[in-house]
Amino acid sequence: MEAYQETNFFATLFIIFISAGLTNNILLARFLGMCSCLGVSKKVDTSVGLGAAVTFVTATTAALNYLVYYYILVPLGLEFLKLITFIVVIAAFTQFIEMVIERYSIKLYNSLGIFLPLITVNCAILGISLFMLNKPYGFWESFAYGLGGGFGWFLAIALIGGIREKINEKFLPEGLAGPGITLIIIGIMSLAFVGFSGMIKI
Amino acid sequence: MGTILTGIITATVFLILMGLVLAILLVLAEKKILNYGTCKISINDGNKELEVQGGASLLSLLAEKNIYIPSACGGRGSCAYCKLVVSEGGGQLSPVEEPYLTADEIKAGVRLSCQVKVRNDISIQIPEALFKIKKYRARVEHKKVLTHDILELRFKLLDPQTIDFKAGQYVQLTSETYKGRESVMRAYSISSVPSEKNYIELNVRLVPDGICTTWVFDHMKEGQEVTLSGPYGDFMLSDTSAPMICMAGGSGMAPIHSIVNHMAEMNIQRLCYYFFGAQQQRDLFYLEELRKLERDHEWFTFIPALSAEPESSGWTGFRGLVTEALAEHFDDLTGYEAYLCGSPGMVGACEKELKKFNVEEDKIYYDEFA
Amino acid sequence: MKKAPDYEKLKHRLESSKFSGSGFLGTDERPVDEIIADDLHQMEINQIDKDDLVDLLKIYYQKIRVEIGRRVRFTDNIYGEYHESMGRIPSPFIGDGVFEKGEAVIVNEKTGETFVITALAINLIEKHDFFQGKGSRYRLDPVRLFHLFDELEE
Repeated sequence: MEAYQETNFFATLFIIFISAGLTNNILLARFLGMCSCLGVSKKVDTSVGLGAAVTFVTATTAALNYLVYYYILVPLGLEFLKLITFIVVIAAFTQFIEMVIERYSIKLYNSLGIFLPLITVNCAILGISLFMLNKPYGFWESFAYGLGGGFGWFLAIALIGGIREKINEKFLPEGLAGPGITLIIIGIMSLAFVGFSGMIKI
Repeated sequence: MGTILTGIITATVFLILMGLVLAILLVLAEKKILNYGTCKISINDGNKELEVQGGASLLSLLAEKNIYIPSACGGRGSCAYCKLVVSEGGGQLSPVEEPYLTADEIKAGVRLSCQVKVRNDISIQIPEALFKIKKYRARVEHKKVLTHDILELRFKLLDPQTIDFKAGQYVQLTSETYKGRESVMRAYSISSVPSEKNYIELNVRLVPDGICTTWVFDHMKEGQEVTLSGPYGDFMLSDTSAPMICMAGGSGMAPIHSIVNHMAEMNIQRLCYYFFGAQQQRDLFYLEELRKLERDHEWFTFIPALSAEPESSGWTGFRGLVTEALAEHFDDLTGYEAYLCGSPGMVGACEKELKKFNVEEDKIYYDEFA
Repeated sequence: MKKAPDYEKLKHRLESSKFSGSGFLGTDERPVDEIIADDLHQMEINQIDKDDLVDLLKIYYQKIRVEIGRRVRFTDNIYGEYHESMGRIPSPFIGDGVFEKGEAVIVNEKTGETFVITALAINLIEKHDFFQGKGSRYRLDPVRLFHLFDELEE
């Protein structure tokens, strides 16, 4: 009986992860984290770097914000402060992480660290933390949801980066280069992702 | 009414407390995590040991201990002047450094000292000459016009008051900020002689849009104090008695001027031909002085070459490029040493010509900063 | 819109700095990639090949440089002159290395146009398609350059 519950628990987490990443892709279905995506998705390697940083921060801050919300804000009756609290927690956390990886892994710092200040204000991260509260999740479910959401964003920006690398912007009509064509790409991609929606209910 | 008020107060207190706690946590974390403690820098196989607070770049930590590695960009990793050998504890080569280093240099452990962060004990190799480099406060004694675009600057050294240098070496002058331009350091060869220890003289040519030269020409005033550092460079007279060819153009006059005057003072009687290239007569300077030197000393010959002097002028000297002047005077220079100073273009052209006349490649000396 | 941190740094390096008093952007306020895209577009329209342009720039830079300051007459109207300068300048694109500072200036007396060719400028075009911002003293407008070489190579 217990073993059954165990698998069930991990299966739930996995389903949450997949649904947050694919069927409810934060970038392609909800259009969050747009501005860093438009600015940074020019090349695959920078896209991947930023994506990885976002995934990490989203997952950890989702868990962190879960604790802050249910163990500090709710008991104090200050739920209405969740927005500002989450922003500050995310900002402080990224600062902290930047310090840690600078100290312990220069290699990681060179590839990932430069993106950390940039994602402090990425709305996808805040979005995940806020959406998570709408669902009846426990701690681990929240973490899986954050990880999945971040992974979805990573996937999306890496794909967009790949497509943009192949596009020779020289041949585009004037004014469409850069953000213009990127928005069109995102639009078409999100049409594909709409197909996934509703497949899994979470 | 009361509940609303308590609500507002709890919210405010909570926000303030939260901000405070997070700020304190971050400050503590920074102190704890980014504290590398005291690190030891061992120089030239333990000849000298420094204790420094880790966490900053090697370049800046050495400067803190009054060892000045040449640098022009101020630690941005783009001028590559601050190369030195890190034999141990330098950590990983950063992607910023790589393009500036050859494969051999990487093998030898050469690094850009501005990009090496000291996180642990580290051993490095520094040429002995660099220990002699000091930072000077100096006063501008005069700004003398030499030609329409070259100035002679004379500085009295205030702190420290004397400098020990070899004829041919250079100093770095730090410009001040003006009109939105940043403070920069630029290298200028010393034109005065080493025996004059309290003063140094430089020749500065105005460069269009040049940050430091514009400051020197338009903003620097006689009597004002400036910052210099030096002496740098290994462009200097060799110990041999081989005959010499000196070739210079424009402000490249300075180190050669210092060298030949030093030779006269010290009575070093090496055969010396000095070719100086300019466009017109108005570009010549120190002419009388060098002509006098030529008259007084058997071993010295001065040959100015003008490339764009009008046909009609009374100029009786050589007309053409310095390289052409050389070809006119010599056809074989086996056994000669050559001392070049000028722009890279000029140095390159002269080097090519000298090799044609059998001057050995390792006997051709020029300044690394040019 | 947010830009990659590398891009922000590049933009900063292209502005007035410790190395280039005037910077590389001149009075051009467009983002760097737009400046590059626009020049490439203009070259596309006028069927100008970048590699040819770079080759010619190198050839003329050397022709003028070896004369160390003496005026080189190319045609009745066009001459070149090398302005010497000591020292070297690092490329604003990290990793390119340092370049000598001398300038090979080509003047077209008929039109009054001047072209300031430097080793760094050639590198910026060759490696990064960057002809520098409008209003910069060092901008080498590809179309004007093309017409200049057209006249010179006749």
